[in-house]
Amino acid sequence: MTFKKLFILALTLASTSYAALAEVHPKTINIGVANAGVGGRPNIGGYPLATVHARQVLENAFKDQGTEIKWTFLPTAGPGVNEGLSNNLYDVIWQGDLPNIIGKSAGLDTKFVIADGRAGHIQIVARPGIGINSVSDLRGKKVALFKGTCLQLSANRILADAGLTERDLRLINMDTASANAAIASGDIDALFTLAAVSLPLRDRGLGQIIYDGKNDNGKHGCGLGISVTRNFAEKYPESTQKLVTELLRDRLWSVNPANRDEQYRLWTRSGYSLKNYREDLDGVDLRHRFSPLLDDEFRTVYQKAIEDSTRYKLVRRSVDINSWFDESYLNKAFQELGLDPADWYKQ
Amino acid sequence: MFSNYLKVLPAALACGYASVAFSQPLSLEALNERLERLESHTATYDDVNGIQQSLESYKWEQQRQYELRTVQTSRPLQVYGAVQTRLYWSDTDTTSGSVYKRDSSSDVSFTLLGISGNLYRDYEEGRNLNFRLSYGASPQAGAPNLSVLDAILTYELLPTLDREKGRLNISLGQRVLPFGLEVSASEELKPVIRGAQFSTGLGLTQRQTGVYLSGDAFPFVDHGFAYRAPLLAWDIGIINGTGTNKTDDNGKKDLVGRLQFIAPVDNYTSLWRELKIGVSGYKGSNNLSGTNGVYGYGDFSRYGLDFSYNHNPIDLTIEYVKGKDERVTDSVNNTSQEFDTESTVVTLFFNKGQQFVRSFRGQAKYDDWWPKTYQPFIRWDNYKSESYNSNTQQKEQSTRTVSTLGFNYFFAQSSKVQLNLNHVNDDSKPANKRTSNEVLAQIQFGF
Repeated sequence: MTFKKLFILALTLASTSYAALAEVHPKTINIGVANAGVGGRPNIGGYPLATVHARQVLENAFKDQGTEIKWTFLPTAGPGVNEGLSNNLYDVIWQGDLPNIIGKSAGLDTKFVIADGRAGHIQIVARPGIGINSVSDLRGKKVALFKGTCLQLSANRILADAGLTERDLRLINMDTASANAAIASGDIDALFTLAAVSLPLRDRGLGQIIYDGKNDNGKHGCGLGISVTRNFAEKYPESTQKLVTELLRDRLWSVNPANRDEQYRLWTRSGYSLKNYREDLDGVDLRHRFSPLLDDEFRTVYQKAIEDSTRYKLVRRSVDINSWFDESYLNKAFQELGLDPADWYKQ
Repeated sequence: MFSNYLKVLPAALACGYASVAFSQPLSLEALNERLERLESHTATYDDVNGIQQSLESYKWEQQRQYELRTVQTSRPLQVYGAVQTRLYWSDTDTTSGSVYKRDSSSDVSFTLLGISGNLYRDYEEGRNLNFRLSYGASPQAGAPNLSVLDAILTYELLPTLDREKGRLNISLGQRVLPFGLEVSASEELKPVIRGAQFSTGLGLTQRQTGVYLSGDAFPFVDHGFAYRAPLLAWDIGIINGTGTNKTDDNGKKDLVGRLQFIAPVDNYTSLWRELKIGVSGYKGSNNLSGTNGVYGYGDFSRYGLDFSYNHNPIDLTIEYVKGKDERVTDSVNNTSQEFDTESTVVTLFFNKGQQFVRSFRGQAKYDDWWPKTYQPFIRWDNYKSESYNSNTQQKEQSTRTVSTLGFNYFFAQSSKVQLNLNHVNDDSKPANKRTSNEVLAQIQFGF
């Protein structure tokens, strides 16, 4: 047998073995999103993942390999994502820090692969004319809070700054839509929420913003991120990598100042107004707000969130960030796109 | 608003022109171009009037639709209902009463139409006054004609806004008996087309009128999964015991109660989640009638022990019920005897799908979306009862066992197709008719 024949045989064997080892692509990737648009519409705004969805980034990227992307937007937010995840309904989840930590603490086996937002602006809206002008005025008042979402952790921190705890308020557990209606009808005195909800209430004269996270650079804001179930990541390593790479590729579009206005317009599909997105985010450094990095800053945000969740008795067991956060996919994504994570803030 | 803009516009243009003129002179052509560009992006009086007219037309249309085409109520209402249509076939025909050699049938086995809502909503603490009213027809319950099923007012005695506190409510009216799993459990724990034999055999499916006290205590709430599970849940009722929509027929009241223990868990993902053990009791009196009319009371009792593990995707329910009834055996001499009943029902089922994941069911969607679920199951239903043989003047015991292999397909949020294969072994029947096989197919749709 000549060397050439041997070489061809070896090449054939190698390619056959590689094909045998290569991933059989998933038929679908089920994505659970802890948010929904106005009136329960399946569109969201205000986050990079909203842009990914609106631009059909994943649908286009996975079309060639025949993988369908199934989005599930949940008005029940983080608690709804956790319920679905524990019933094996999602491969990929997007949610805020507290429900993420609760899920992980309860044993949901996920890998945290990319950050999707930090230092968001939490706001407190109070009914006008009832004497609530600051956080400390909330003592004894009927206040709506969507428990189990990242708002609960932020609320606890904001209250602690004012020397209050949940017990000092008459807290009512309400989802976003219910709280919105309840403050309009005067059934609650105030609510913890996000700018997309609070600004329209203010504009309609139904509420006044007594606390705005924008004023303290979102120090109590949620840390949002995307996780993949360990089962999915191990069964479909190539697809997991492709997912993270595509998320990063779109993130570059998302943080580009030239696309800011177009991005706001995409987000209005959620039913929230362009004007409010502008007011909330104009002037905000999107490279920082929407940084994908699982860097020291983001890890500190999560470590503090874990400590606070334990301190406020929102979780029973602590979570180890080092075994949860998996930067390998993001690092490879940077490499595939010819970028260096260290340069993220330099551009 | 826009008129103000229009008033300001010339001034702004003038200022703009002035500042531009001082900094960099522009040609008249360039200024005209700017003005044209500005005008193409500015709303005119006509534009504003157009929007105003459209808005007025919309408001008028909405008002008209509301007055003419919208059902109105004095209180917030929820309308609900269900219909079951069934096909039945057996390899053994039945002859009894007016029935001759029946081996198959198609039935509307159950219909329900109801409304529920609140008469008073307490925004402060959630001590609401709620009502529920429903009508239905169910040949199974011996009431083929439309009758009142639920007609009940419920007042929350304790605040309900805080999910971390226990609940207590009082109800007055007619409702399902709080007894065991088969009678009072929700759809999630009842995959079989026909109810367990004891539920009809012991008269437990009949709604009863009276006063009920229900509550739970020591709840565990996992906000991270929107899950609430009390450690104890209980119901007590003082009732007529005469059945659906009937005035009491004697001076004695019946007492029914149920206590359920729910395994404590430290989070939603715990393997012990939704593991429950319950005990139930129902004690009362029926009138005894002889040929000369009613002559006294006969006591009866039912006691039950149940276990359920409703942990998606696996569900297991086990229920044991024991009953004792005093019945007339000689209507001429007004004598009676006690008759015993004993039953055990075991059901194991498996869910593949999203029907019972609440958050998934309530997801944001534009279209009319149906979560699909496939639910195979098996059931073993053993029912031992005593009857009186007037020829031998002796009590006789018989055992009827129904083994069911079934499959449910949930194709919409509240609708399902069901298929049951029953193997029946009834030792009260003649030897050649002791065993029989049945096929039941049913579509249940609800809203």
